[in-house]
Amino acid sequence: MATEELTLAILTRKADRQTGAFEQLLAAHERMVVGTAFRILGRMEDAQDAAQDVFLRLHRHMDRIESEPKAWLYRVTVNVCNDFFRRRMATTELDIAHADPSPGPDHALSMEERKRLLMEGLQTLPERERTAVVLREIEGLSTREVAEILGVEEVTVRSQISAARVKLAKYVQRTTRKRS
Amino acid sequence: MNCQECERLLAADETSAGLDRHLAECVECRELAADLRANAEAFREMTAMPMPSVRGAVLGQVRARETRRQVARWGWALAAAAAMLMVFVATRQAPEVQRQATRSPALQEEQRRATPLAGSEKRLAAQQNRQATRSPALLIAREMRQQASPLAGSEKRAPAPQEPLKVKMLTSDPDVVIYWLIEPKEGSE
Repeated sequence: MATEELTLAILTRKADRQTGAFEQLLAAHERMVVGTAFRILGRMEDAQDAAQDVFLRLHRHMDRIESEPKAWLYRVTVNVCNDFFRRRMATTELDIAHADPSPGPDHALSMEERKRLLMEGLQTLPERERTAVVLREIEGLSTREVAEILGVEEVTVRSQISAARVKLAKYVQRTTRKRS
Repeated sequence: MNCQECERLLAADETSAGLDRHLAECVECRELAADLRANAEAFREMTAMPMPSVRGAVLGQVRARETRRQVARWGWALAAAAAMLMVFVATRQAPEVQRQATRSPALQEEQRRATPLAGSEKRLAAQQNRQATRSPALLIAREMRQQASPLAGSEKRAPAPQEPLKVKMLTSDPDVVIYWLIEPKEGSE
């Protein structure tokens, strides 16, 4: 085989391997990235745009990611979503069409309403509290993992989550009282 | 225990006998505790929500970007190669052009008669001679033709370089380096 053909074959195989690895990462973490983006942004359309941005960054930096891809993806998702959130107009309506259908009729109504109110309430939180509560409460990460992703101490994360829980509970109470 | 202390303990998921006593006598704190529990349950349900796929859109964009990158990479490489080739050919032809320009008209006429060219080729050669001082590209073409034909010219050509010319071209991609080896034509002396 000529040198040029050999070089081309090596480059092609390298590209194929990278593409395969990327597609595997995309398949494994797609739901996680879209879900996190949706909880932070509150709109599915924005969440999908943000998720695409995250995966394109992943593809661009595949060679340079030395740490765990999951932690890297969470970190980039949070950063991309926070940028989205800051740019977004305050008048944007939240997308509640993607609320999950629940099992029983009575319980379903109240739980559905609560989820909707929580999604609304999340958008009223400060950026750090919103991110911390999404990662800890919805994504189910440990306090240490959240601290690593956000680059803060664990005690800070605990404090942010506590504050966010109380604010969300009071937001739900306040909104429910106003409507009734 | 006051309501503020109770709120702090509830939010941090902590328990104590003092907290239980306060909850037993404070309606507002009991409501807060109930909401915190219900919210935690709602969050857990939200975890299982189905999400739309972005795989197709992402892979489409990745492929489009890869195609653009390949086109740009090879476009630049080919442009660089073409430029290097032109420089090389022009450098090789420079002495010959100078000789052509200084050659006497009588000698040029003698050379044209000695060349066994077909009728159409003769016309082409005459046209090339007319344009020799204007068009370097035609000069190069004529030189190649003269080298290929059994020319009986008495003049001596400039010796061709014996070592192959090696041109190394770096591209924007550090993984891609193009080597262009130009070997001297055998029997061109």
